[in-house]
Amino acid sequence: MKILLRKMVHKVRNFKKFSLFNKLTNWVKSTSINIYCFTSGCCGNEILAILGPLYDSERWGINFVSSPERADVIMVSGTITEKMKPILEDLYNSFGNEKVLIAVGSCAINGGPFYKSDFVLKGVKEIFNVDLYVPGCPPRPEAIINAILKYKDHFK
Amino acid sequence: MKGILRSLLTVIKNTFIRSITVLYPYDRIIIPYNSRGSIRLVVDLDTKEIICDGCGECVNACPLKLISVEKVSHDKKIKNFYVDISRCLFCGLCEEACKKDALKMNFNYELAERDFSALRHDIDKLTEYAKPKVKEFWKS
Amino acid sequence: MENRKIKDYEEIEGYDIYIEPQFRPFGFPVGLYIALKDGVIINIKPEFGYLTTGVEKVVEGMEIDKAIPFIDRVDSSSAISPELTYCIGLEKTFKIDVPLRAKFIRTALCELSRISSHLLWLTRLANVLGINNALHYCLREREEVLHLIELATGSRLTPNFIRVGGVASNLSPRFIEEFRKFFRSFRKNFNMLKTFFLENELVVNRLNNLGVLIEEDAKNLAITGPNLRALGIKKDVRIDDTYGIYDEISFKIPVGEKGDSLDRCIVRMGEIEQSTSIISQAFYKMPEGEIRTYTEDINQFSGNTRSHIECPHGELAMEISIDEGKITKLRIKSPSYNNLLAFSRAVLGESVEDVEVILTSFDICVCEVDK
Ligand code: SF4
Ligand code: SF4
Ligand code: SF4
Repeated sequence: MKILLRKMVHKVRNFKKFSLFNKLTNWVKSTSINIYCFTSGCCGNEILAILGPLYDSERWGINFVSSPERADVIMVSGTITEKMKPILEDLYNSFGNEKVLIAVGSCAINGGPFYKSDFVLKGVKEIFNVDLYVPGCPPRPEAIINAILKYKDHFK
Repeated sequence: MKGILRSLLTVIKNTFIRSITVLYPYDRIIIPYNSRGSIRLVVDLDTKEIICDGCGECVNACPLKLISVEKVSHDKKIKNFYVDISRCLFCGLCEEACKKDALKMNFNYELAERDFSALRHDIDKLTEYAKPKVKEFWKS
Repeated sequence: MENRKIKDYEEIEGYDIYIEPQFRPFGFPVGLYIALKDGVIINIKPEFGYLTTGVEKVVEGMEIDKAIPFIDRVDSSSAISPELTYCIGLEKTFKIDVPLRAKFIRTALCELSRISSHLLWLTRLANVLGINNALHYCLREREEVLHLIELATGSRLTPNFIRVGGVASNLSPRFIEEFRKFFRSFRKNFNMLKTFFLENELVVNRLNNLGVLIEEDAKNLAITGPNLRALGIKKDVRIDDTYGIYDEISFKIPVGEKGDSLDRCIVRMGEIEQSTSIISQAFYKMPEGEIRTYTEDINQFSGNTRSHIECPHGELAMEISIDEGKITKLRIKSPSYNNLLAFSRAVLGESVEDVEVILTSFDICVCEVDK
């Protein structure tokens, strides 16, 4: 009985690597992207703007969720200070296996205008692996949408 | 009760007005002519040469010292021109300082990159807009 | 993850709930320690400092003109008001005359950004109350205001437009054309927004008598701006200590009665209407002429100066020391810091569900609190 069960589990695990199944999950992921948004600072106002009727981000299935466990992408924007760093690390660890991180705004990329300051972290790239950089201070809402659409090609 | 009905009525009224959504990747939002995007170097249309002579006014004007110019000695030409876009404030002080109008902020805002080193623009990238495209070359 | 939380509880005893700073989406990082008794809040302690950038230190040693883009980033929702405070202070001590046209342009843009800031606040209030229709209508109006600001200055949120002795560039004819178009539609659309917030019984009953601020607390904590005017006290820097051209323009100051969340909403709604009338008067009276006076010896200035203006959140004040054209000291007194302390007094005696509504009704900009 035990051997049979083990064989079943093995089969199910192998099924995930099966190419058609992989293609299907990738297609689903590329048409509905769940984003966890970590905002602090002025760039948060521009991310609020892409929800509005002029840009309407839900046309591509972009969906903002409130917990990192349910998200495909984590989007870090705005100034990250030394006091904020442990909270961001906790969030990143509770995020799923495939970790994708987008850095929005020059503060998140590199420390931005405040890179000389002692309180500010010199970019998210010092602690995590960053997949996409979106420069701008703040970037226009179209630039953020364009970045998310670029990330879609990652799955195809 | 009256107020709730009135706010419901405005919602129903608003479903029949024209939609203002712009279908972004296929259809662009018209942005003003003086909107500040990434930096580019101006190329003279007749002679196909860069106007900038490396005087260094913009290097001094930038509050974060992001611009650097490499000059050919004893000549009014530049060898290379670097701008670090990753930390830029898009403030426009460098554009204001240049007296020859050799530096302009253009409309380009789609700057997302996968590679961090690609955010340091050099002279090829800054004058890319003026180079002949392949299709146009074969047509002429 | 668990270690950090246990440590936090050990440090501060006597608090039951901790709301983490990243809980609030879209740029609002303030942590809250809450103590409860029978479901009623008896004590609250805001935990801030998650956005400390140290602007005051970064700016030290810079030249006068180069510091302006950094001072922009102090206020995230209306960046033009810290710029104006800085420039007015320097012009006063170094006796630089500002051309009349530049003063009119400054006033018009300040009031435009006041409208955009209050509309952003309405969006957040609609988000917390759960009125999704009104959220989208507010964002639609805000996009049009931001388009006008971009047409005049070149950027949506961080304009870098005001200079010592005037403004950076002139208004184009297209701006005035588009403003007329905007002005006609905005009055109609704004009346529509009013039905959602001030006539709908579901919203009015929720906000009424919620988070009442006592006059004694307000005076002890030195509250300014719309939160003070909601109590019925008529205080405004634009009239008490006029700057620019506000003495040539007639406008009213809307006040409330008892200082609850509904009064704060009424006052801000009234301010948006007054701002539109100020802008239209400013365009009607605007003269032609120069927009900036250039001063050659800006590098030899030295001295100390102080200035204050009315920004959308309250009274913003600055103290600047300059030595041979370079900044040696800059101190900013931001109104949002006092508003956050006032929130911690006003919330006592309410239930936990209403904390978020009261917090947003005070219009706190966290960039300003921490600097
Ligand atoms: S990148 Fe610029 S706009 Fe964004 S948070 Fe930093 S200073 Fe503010
Ligand atoms: S861009 Fe203008 S200011 Fe800068 S080096 Fe060239 S000519 Fe001089
Ligand atoms: S826009 Fe401002 S920060 Fe960017 S390169 Fe020019 S002067 Fe420097």
